[in-house]
Amino acid sequence: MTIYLKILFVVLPLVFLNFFAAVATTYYFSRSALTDLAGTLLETRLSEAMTIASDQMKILQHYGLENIPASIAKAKIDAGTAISHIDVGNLGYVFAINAKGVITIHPEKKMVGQDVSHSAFYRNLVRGTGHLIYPEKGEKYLARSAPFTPWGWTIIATDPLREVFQGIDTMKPYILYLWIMGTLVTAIIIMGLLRQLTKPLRHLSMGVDKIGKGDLTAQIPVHSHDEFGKLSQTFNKMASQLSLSHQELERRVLERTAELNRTNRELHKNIEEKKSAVNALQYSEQRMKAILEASPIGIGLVIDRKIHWVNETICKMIGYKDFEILGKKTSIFYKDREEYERVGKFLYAKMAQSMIGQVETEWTRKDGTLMNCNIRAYPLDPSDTSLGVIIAATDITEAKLLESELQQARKMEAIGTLAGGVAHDLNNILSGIVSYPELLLLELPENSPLQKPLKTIKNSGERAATIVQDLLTMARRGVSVTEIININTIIDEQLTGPEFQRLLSFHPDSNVIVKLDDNLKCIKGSPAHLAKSIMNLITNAAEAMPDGGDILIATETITFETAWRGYETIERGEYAAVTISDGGIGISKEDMERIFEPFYTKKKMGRSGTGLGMAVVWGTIKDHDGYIDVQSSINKGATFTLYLPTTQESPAEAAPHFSLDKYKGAGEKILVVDDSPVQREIAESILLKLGYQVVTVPSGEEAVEYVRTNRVDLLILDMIMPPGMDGLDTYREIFLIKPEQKIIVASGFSETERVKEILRMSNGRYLKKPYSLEGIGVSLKEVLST
Amino acid sequence: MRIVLTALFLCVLYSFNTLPAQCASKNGLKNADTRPSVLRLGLHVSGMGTLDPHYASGSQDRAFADMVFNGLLRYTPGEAPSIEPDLATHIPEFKMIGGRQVWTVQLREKVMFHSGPGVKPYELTADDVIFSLQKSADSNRSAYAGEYSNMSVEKTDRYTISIILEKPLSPVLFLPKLTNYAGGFIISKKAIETMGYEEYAQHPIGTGPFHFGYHIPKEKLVLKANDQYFRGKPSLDEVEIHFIPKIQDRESMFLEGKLDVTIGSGAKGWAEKMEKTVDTVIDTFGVGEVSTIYFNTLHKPLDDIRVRKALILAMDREDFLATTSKRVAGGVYSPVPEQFLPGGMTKEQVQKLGLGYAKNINKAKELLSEAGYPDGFSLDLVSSEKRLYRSLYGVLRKELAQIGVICNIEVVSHSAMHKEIRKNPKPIVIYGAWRPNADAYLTRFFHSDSTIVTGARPDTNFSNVNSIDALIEGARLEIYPEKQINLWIQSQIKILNDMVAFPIMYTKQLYLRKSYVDYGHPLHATMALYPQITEKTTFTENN
Repeated sequence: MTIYLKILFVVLPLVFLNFFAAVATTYYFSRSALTDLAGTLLETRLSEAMTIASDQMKILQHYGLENIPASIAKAKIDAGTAISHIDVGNLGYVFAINAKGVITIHPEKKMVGQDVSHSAFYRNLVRGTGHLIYPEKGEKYLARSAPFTPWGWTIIATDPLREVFQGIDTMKPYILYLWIMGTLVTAIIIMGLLRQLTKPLRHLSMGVDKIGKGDLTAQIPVHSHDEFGKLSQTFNKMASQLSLSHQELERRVLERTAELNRTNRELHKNIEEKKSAVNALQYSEQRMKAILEASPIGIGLVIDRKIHWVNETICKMIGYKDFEILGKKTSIFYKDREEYERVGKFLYAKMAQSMIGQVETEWTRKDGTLMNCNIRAYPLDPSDTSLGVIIAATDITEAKLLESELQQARKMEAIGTLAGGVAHDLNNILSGIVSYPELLLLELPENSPLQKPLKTIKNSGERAATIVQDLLTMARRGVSVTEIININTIIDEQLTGPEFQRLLSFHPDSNVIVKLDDNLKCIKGSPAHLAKSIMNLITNAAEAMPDGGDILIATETITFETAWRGYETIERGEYAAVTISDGGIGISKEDMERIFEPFYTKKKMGRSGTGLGMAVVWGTIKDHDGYIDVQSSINKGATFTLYLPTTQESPAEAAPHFSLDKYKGAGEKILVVDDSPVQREIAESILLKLGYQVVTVPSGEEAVEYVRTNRVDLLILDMIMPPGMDGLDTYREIFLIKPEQKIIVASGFSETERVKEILRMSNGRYLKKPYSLEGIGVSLKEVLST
Repeated sequence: MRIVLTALFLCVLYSFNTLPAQCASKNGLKNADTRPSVLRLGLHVSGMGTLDPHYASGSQDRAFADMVFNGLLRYTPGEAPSIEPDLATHIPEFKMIGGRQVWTVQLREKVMFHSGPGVKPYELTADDVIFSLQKSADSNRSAYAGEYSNMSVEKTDRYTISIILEKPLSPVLFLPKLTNYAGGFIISKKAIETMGYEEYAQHPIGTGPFHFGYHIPKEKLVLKANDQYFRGKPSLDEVEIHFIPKIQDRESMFLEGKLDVTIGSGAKGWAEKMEKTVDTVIDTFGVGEVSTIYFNTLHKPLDDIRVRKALILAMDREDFLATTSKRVAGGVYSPVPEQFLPGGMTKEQVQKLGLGYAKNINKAKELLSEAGYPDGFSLDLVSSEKRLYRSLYGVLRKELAQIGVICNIEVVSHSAMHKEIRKNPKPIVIYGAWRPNADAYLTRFFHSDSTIVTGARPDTNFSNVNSIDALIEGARLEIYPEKQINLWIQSQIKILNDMVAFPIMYTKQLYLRKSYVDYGHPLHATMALYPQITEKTTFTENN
């Protein structure tokens, strides 16, 4: 502890006590003065109260009312009211007690009537003490009292000491503040004086401290010639000597330090240069690695046919982690030793020739599946492939599949075109075989012996027509997919139809399990073609199980969120799926690729099939913009699933049953334009049967000429009439002559764009050939009624 | 050409013929529909007493004065005794100058008098006010001269006057003198000077919301709206005061729609009956006449206080109240009715002072025995033929019979009763009256000067009391309201203590009005003794 502090510790308590004594004395005398002041105030208020009571008494006396109890009571009430409203400070009040010691006036109503005759303060009152301090409600009151003898009252003005001393109590914080501030100010002054007195000693102490810390230039100011002055001069001389010695020592140290710094800087420079080179190398390596990692092509480094490094793409392609294959032979990628050897020989030979080797192969993924892969190889050093080979592997599985699908589609298209051409000609030929028996049967009586052979001819013709229709379907030239249908309905109809019953009779050991989805969505399509396709698949399933077994027929609504690869790639969308599966002999891989080709069959031709069943299925599904999936393996059965796009539209009401009488004509004049004499003849016969007048012409040109000079109610116009004008050209000419001419367009094909153009221009109808009584009857009625 | 001219002439002629009708329909929009803008007021008198407001005492006279004249101050319409400025700009305050009390009154500017025969409308000034107050103080020209005789009025400027009192008065006593009541109405100096008093008395001119129209004696008096009224043009076009003494006639005319407002009857059950009629609204309001029983302290045996107290103890105030509809009647417990005036006492105050005098037959008989009348005695009394008087005297007779005091009551006409009770002092008098302040009540009923027959100014001191003269005079001179009221109450304590009078009840005004009549102000109490029709009185839209 410094001398300065020691002196402070002695002096400051004295100052503190001195001020405390002064403040306490002030406080004591202030309280005494306030007591006197409050006493004076109470006496003043008491005097006011006495005056009020006296005034009331004077009135009573003045008007001779002093003996009237009611007047006295009124006077007392008025006096009491006035007295109780006298303010004594904020908390004090004036009250009165009667001769019996009962309170008669009090600002608080509840106090009036209280007997205080036994209280100590009342006894003091009785003794005539005008000055009182008494306890009330837990605090002390200062009071002054006086008797009002006419009414026997003692009137008391009182105020709690709390309020009396409120002023000095209010001053308490200020007094305390004064005490603290006085003490502080005095202490600060004393501290300043002491600080000035001990200044030389402090300088000496600081000088010694500086020298102790190495500052040998330290000098102490000398302000006096007393003991402190001499001590300072001696200290300064000592410090100067020390400083000179120290300066010499420092000079030598500086020289040596400079040398060391130079050496150090050179070393630092060398280290920095090496660091930069290493960093550049690391950066280059990282950049290269990033490029290789980001590549969509699988890249790897193979040294001595061992995997030295691979990028992430290769790992993803084959399903291995890099640590699982690093250091291992590349044979891990191949399905067998033979392929591994083949690829190796081929690549290394090519690299030897032209530095780059390329080969297609199959790699085996970790999960055992195969993938088609194109591999390019490039040696790190063309002169020595043992230093390592960079391989670049591309997954071409998808491309291979697409290529295969494309080839299949082209093949089916070519076959279809061929079959379609044949079918068109056959169709016209068959019209006679189908239509004439029908007409003849109408003319013959029921018991005619010709009925049976004619029906046989008609049935044979219809069967032939069916084959032609199959061909057309397969060729995708005859399917109209405009009807809203629910496949469940078609399946139900097929399963209850005679064809299915006949099938079951041939395959009594087959058991059909049907699981139809009640909520199956509708599709837009051709019921007849779909029925045919489903029946074909059921027939195949039954025939695939010569010893019998279960045939599962199921439907469901399936949504593909993304394209799905099965037998073919199925695009995303919602489909009504029809599954027909069996547990039969199954389909080999080779057969699988060709099962949808026409006339490709394992069955004996002409015995159980036409060779067009699966081709019809294919053509039908394609006409419906649908897809087919086939899952099968030898002796494990086969599952065919047809995916048909759903529609939001609802099925139409069933068409009414055809009635000849209903569709009878009224002698309207019909012009039949058809290049086929047979077709013209059939059409003419049907129209006459229906009650129409008929004119026929063999070409479009003749039709135009006829219309130019004759009126006809309706034209039945064949679409294809080589080598002359076709149906559209013919109609365009007729349109120029008679724009309002009603027309029916007839064709063995589905509605082509040229057919649709005629219908758009004419508001006519499309009639599917071959001609039938019902087809012509219904179409004519519809068009003639417009 | 002639045809054209003829046509033009006919058009012009048609236009002149229809123009007045068009104008009338526009100006008289309020009249155009079936609802009148003329309010028809039915009063229970046979005709006007006077058109001079300084003589007005009957209901019809006060109603007329209220609508035609203003005071310097006025009782707030419907809310008496509250006072507010009328022709003065504010309620004056006094200063004591040389021992005299000086009240300075500032007048409103641009207040116009009505027009009259030979007198055009002109602005009211200090000259008119001074003229009016001087007339009020002149006993030859005013019925209220006594109230104004001790004051002098000086003009300070065109719109300022000073009223100087040699004997100071408290505001409670002085300010009512300046109100629109009795001698406080301000009249036109120029009109009287131009027309002469006789003609003026037939066609008075004031500054009120309505001016004199015409007067058919015994039938009706018609007032017209004063379009220049300083508070704004009245909503009504006219007011007709119809004189219909019989209640049956007023009732039938009101029900037939020939009256819009009429005074009713306080008879028990009448108000309830009328209330059930269509479009009828019943209003009851103060101020009310106070009925009091006065005992003649000089008449044996009532000169003995024990006898007077015995009579009181035989009576029950509720029995008197039962004679009249509760809608209009209420108990009064001191001679000055505290309900309407400062200076009265409430029931609670009286009971607290031991002056309630609850009915006690045994005590009453005891007192009579002490006084030497154990078997009672008989009294000869006089009643007015009016329903209220007959009813009250009837109850009195019945109550006193319980202690053997027999009352022989002679029923005479109302005016005859007034003469008889003043001329030949009776042992007991029941008297109903309204006085504008406590001093008037006490002075006129209990000051020795007012003692009937023998008083200096005989009035209505039926009790022959002289013991509270000092109190009454002391209170009158007191200028501080609190002290003044204290003295009034002490004087009434002595009256009750000596039992020289027994206040019974007040009876309020009862008026009928059609539901479409809106007076334009609340209706609690009015010094004008009718509901007060002002510029704001109107017919409501659903009229």
